[in-house]
Amino acid sequence: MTPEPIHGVTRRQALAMGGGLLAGCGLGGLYLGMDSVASASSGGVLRPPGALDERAFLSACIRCGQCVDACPFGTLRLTDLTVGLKKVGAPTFEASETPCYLCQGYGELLCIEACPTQALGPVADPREVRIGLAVIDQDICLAYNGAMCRACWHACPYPDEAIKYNEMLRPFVCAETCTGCGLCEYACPTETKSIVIEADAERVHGGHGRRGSGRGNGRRGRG
Amino acid sequence: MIAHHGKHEHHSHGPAKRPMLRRWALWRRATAALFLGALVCSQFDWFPWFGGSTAGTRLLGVVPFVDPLAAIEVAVATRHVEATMLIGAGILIGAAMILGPVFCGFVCPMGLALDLNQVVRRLFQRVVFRKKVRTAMPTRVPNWVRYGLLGFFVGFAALYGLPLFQTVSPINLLSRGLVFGVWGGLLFVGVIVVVEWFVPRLWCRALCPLGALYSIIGRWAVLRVRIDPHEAGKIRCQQCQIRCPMGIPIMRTYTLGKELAVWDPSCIRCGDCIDVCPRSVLGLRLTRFPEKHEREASGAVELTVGGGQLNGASKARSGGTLVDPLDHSQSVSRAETGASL
Repeated sequence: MTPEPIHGVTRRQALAMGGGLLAGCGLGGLYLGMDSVASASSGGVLRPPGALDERAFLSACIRCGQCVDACPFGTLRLTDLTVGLKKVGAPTFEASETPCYLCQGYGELLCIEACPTQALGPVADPREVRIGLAVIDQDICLAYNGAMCRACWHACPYPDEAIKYNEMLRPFVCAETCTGCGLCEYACPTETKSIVIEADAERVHGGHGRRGSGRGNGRRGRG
Repeated sequence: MIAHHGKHEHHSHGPAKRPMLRRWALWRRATAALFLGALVCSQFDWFPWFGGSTAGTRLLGVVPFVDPLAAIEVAVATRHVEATMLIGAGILIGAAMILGPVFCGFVCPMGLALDLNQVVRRLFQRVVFRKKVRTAMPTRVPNWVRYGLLGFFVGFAALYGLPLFQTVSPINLLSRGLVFGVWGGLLFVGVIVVVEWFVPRLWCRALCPLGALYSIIGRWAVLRVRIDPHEAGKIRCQQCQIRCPMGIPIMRTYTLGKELAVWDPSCIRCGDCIDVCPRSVLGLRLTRFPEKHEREASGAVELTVGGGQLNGASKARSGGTLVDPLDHSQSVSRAETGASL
């Protein structure tokens, strides 16, 4: 009987592993070349509080769903196959259905606590969360069209800081302090929401609203 | 099992098979089902046992468990290792170093699904096609492909910075689908289930990179399918290697090769070979992985022990006769032995 290579990995398996490694790198490089510009934005998908910038977030997220289990408000859900291969299984939420309550009444942001890989990075204060930026559509906003409405202001966890009123009693969003929690969008009474959280909205002041950890950026430089 | 025996033999002798409660198949399905059930129930507040899914979970919200492959992919993708991730993956890697790829046999939800799929398939063949004799698992499924896939996914993560396997892994798709209600991924699981009616255990044997990783980690594991040297090779019924879901030539290489245990790294400790063995040759035991010189000089053991015949030498090597506490039908009738020999 010919002795089979029974102990551990055979040469063929090791070769296959090396070949697969090369193939993975090659295909990854190809993908990277095609995709380098587009994927830095989340494509309008809202991520949980503390999420790194989209690329670093998708690198670090293992799609385990512990943040979803941890959320006491049932805000988060995992994305299905429809959103594209990269984003499958990553957590997201729909502000008009269930906004992020920033764990008010809890000591800490529970999704961040649950994340095993710190794809959701630590946040010192819920005020520092930057999920996105609320943007008001002045064409349909009731307050801009003659009605007396303060729904968004009442819903906002930081009224007079994130949402303010001008002398005409019309709301505007302060880009520096808005957390993008989506409570305003949830509360907005118009049929088409006239205040919407935009994940990729450029902030006028104070950068893009992402806390750069440097992890994603360093990696991007290599590609 | 032994075709020419006839039916009356089977009825009179009875326990060629182990009683249900003493079968590993029952217990491993029970543990896998319990774990999956715990995952599913953990999305409710009243059951905080295992939040998350197979990629990462947390026992009672305290002890983290992270899929080792997920941890490697993330570490390679982000060039950064988190403490929680390290602990969570370290626990599982440590367990696999001692116990081998028991995750595959006893925990993996995909393994459970494919296992039950094979049960249904065998039942179908018996009832519809009136098939009496077990057919061997095709042994020519290329085992090395999954090692290639393991390399592929790690390489992809290294360069592209995306833990791709965590998005497409049917293990995760299945557990995520059941736990979080994202059903789209179950399509892929369904495809594998259908394919496995034609190529049994294709996923576990040929494709699963997580299984490949566990095989590498558990290479020197001490929990092994031990072989009783006295009973080994007496019947040569081949039931163990016919039934083995990983296609390991248990009898050809290990039992007849007078090995102490099944050393094949792809063995998932499912216990199927133990369950079907009519002479209880096999049993799950803690066995020290032999040193290199011991392995090479398996013939020289006789000299070192001295005096005994081959069986005696093997007996001394294994430290006594192997008695399986799970099995009380150790003494299967001699008649059966004679008939099949």
